[in-house]
Amino acid sequence: MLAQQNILTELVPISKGNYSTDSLISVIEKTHNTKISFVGKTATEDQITISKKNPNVEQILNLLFDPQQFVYIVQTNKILITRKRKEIPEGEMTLSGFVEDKNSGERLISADVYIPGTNYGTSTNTFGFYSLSFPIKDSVILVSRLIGYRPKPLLIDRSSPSLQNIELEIEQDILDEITLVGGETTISSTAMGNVKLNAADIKEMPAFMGEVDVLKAVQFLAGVQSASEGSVNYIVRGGNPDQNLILLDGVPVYNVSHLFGFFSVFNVDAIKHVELTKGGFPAHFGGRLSSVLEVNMKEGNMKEFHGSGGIGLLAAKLAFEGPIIKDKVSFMLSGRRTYSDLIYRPLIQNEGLDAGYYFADFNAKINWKISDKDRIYLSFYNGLDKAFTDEIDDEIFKSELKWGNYTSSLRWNHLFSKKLFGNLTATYSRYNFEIGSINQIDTISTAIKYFSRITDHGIRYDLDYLPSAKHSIKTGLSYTYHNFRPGALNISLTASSIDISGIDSLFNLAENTFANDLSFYLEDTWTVNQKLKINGGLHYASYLVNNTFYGSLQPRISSRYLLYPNWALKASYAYMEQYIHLLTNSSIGLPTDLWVSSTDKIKPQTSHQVSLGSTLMFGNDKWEFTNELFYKKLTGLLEYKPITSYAPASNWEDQVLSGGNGFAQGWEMFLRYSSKKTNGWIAYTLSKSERQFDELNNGVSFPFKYDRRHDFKVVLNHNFTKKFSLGLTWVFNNGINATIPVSTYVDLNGNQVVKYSARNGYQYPNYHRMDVGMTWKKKTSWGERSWGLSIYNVYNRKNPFLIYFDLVDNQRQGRQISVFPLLPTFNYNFRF
Amino acid sequence: MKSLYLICLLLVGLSSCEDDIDIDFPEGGSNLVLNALIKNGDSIKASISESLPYQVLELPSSLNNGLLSLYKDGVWVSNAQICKREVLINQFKDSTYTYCFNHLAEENSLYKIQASSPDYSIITGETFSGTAAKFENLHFNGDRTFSFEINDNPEEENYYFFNISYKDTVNNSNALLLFLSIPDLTIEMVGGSDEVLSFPSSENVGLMGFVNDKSFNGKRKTINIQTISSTGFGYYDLKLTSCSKEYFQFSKTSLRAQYLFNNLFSSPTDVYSNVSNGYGIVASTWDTLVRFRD
Repeated sequence: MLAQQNILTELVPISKGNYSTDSLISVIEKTHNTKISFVGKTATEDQITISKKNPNVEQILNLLFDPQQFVYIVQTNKILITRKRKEIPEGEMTLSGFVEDKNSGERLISADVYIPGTNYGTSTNTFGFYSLSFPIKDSVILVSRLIGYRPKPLLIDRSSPSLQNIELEIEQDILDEITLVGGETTISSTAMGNVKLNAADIKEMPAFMGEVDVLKAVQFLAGVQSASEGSVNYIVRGGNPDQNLILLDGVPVYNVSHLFGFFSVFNVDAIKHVELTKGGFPAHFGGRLSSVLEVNMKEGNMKEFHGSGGIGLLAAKLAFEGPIIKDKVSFMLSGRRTYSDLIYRPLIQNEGLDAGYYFADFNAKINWKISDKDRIYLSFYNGLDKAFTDEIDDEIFKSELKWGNYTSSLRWNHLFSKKLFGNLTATYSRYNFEIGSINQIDTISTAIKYFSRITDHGIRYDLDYLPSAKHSIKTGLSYTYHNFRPGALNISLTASSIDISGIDSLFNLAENTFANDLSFYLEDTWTVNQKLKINGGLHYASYLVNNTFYGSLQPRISSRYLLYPNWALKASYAYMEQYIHLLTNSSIGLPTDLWVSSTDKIKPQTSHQVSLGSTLMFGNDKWEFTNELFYKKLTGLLEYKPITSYAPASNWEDQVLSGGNGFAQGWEMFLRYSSKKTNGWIAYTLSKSERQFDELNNGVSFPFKYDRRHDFKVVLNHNFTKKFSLGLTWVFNNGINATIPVSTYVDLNGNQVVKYSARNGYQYPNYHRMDVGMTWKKKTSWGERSWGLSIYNVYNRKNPFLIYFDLVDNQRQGRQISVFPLLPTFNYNFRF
Repeated sequence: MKSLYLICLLLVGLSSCEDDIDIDFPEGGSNLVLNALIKNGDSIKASISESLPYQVLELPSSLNNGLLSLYKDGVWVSNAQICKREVLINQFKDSTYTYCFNHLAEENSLYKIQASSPDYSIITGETFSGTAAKFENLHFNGDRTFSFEINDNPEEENYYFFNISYKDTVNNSNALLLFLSIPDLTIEMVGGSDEVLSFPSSENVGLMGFVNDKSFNGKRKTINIQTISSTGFGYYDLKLTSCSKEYFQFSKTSLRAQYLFNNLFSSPTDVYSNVSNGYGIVASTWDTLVRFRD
């Protein structure tokens, strides 16, 4: 190429004199064995005067063509002469819009929108909205993708409209299912400790008693542990269970347990997307110390009607979705109920006895697309667990225990401009627990009912603003009015009615507490250069309760540095405060657990968390390898006093130890693989967490109950054919910690008393378990049906659920209860 | 459809088959236990015994081969002898041995007891014997409300507990006091300041409330006790006890340990001990008894 370029400097053997244009070109072509091509006319067609003997090629061409307007491109045996293109200055362009599912019109969360080969990219928010600013000369290729959907490239030039709604089409050849979300934004984002799942990920995992569960799927992620076997309660990075904020369409859900904690309140058929954040909290999160789990319901198909349903060992479910007005308004309805009581109740009712237990939940959502710039979502959830006994003999005795959540939210999206997106959210959340009984002998009836409740009314406004290609700003204001009613007792004595709801004598075991929770945040994601991106912000929280005011300014920062295009280093720091607390004596999320407010005596809980990690994508982005180190310091922790008994609502402040400290530190490794046929991950956590209370363990730090040093999980799903898939999970972790009796002696009062081990000084045996799930699918004329076989605890490991001492041969013998042996279950599902 | 029911029932059955297996817990070793009670004006008594691993289901033995020494304000006073007519604790496996010191306990003294026995290391415990508090302005109202005042010495850190019990003189039984309400957050009741308690009432125990002088040091304290339920044929015993900090801590934790034993919802807690290298308590008390006729 260099030799070819030198042709311009080679001499042409001609004398001084006047030449025509054609003759000069002809001479050059002959003497240098090349061909000169040009478009249009030469600079001059007059005679050309050569004033110097043997000029070089370029000097002759400069006489023929204006060098200011033409450029010479030397190729093999050819010189191309073209007009210079006008230099176009680089400008900046901002695109925004929504990414939607082409078939259903549902907006897609966490879809990547990016310019390949550059550092410019973003992902859609909870409402499927994106906004991206980038430099542009002529045109760029913009790509939108979400794993499970066919990537969609768009040619964008400077004349393209700034509002670009993108429709993605499901890749049919991956069995209509969507796998884990990752890819471009995993590397480009500053987010740490953040994992996204969607309903299909969860459905592919083995089911427990025929029911797949959102929270049990989350427990397979790095840094997340189950509180106890079968429980949906989870522990994140050594935090307490109440430090996990769980949002259903933006509304806090206070008790996520069905069936005493063995199932969560989330019906997978109604769920679209799940996202867990366990560290590196951006400023828009607040109110909890350890994690935020965002669960988003389906929006409803805008194009056509669809339904799905199924039946498992425990529950049956049914869901419908479709347009109310095509492409304008859609709905989603979903219900689930356990049915075992319907089977056995007829068998026991003939003796004047009726008893039963069931849980049920109902989800509904309406999605109204008012215009391209406005959309309204209305979401409802109502769930109930109820156990009851009715005994009618000479006397009547009825009792019931019930608990449940009700949540609703109204959200209004508005696109003010291509750079400004706003969302208004109004929320209502209530958790209610009741236990009551009524006894009637002749005409006299006595009734007693205990209940506790927490109710929230909230409103918030969030804005996403993109002032330039390098900055993305989020800001928002939120207000929540909490009403805590930790416990109330109704007692009545009447001579007639046996209506359990007619009780009228009320004793408050604890005063109602009303609290005002106001917060504001501002954060900016700043792309400093191609390698460095920083998300920094402030979250200001204020809390007013019974004339006691708490306020805090909580700094948050996270950053990403690209070592290579596929390898990012990340670091973050977050300070958080938490004003509400859960009083619990159990690990399984009993309905009796009480949510209480910070008061003048009970200070807020706080945490400082630092994380450092890296993310590496390789194998054509099919592999993701994430490492994170974390350290979390906790203050203001609460714990029941050791002497406290069952659910003491009365003067609860006197029955808890407050001001406890704790820390957690560890290393998390997450290796994930996603392809069309196979996906899964390996997660390992090495961690340590401790607690310290002045009044416990002589003030000396002791292991946190859930301080499990090693926690290892494998999740694997493989689609062998379009009709058959296999899911496998395996978990291993160290046992939880407990305080056990070690000695007895006689005290001064003559009582034989127990001397216990150091607090949490005994570790349960290790826990490990493998589950396998198989699904057979078949297309039918009306849709698709599938049979599923799940085997829980395949090799029948006897994991400890509870340990205790029993009397055997005049000795106290330690014993362990294992509740879930090998457990095969079937389920049948369909969709149309 | 019948087969579906059958499958469901089978699987429900499988899911409910909890497995219960033996597991080996670490055994606690045997430690020396020292219990001693010091009452002003009385001879000081003590007991030594041994602890047993929790797995062993029998009463521990009282030991008679110990060497017990008493120190007052850091100065040795005497060694103890087994006194056959005195019984400090009588819940041991075989014989019960009580050690007595040839010394009458004095007010405002710091006592330390050191005990040793073959096969065990030396253990010690100490306590301060203070000045008795006094009831003042005692009232028993017709609506079963008690009020009294404690004349608290502001120079000392003082601890009290009070018992209230009811004796039914007609049926000659200890009736249950079903409700005891003390609307005062400075009173630390077992299980809460105004929790409904239902301890068996007896002349020895009754219902107990604990209070220290952190909230009213140097001031007179009025405590209103409201009771509900009595047979109407008997009398209340109201007993205020001044005690050492050690006895205060011990009594609370001992009572609660009895009350909450085998309660799945309470977390395990030790009975307070101030004996180093061993278990037990060395404590002092001094009582005032007031009796009201119902």
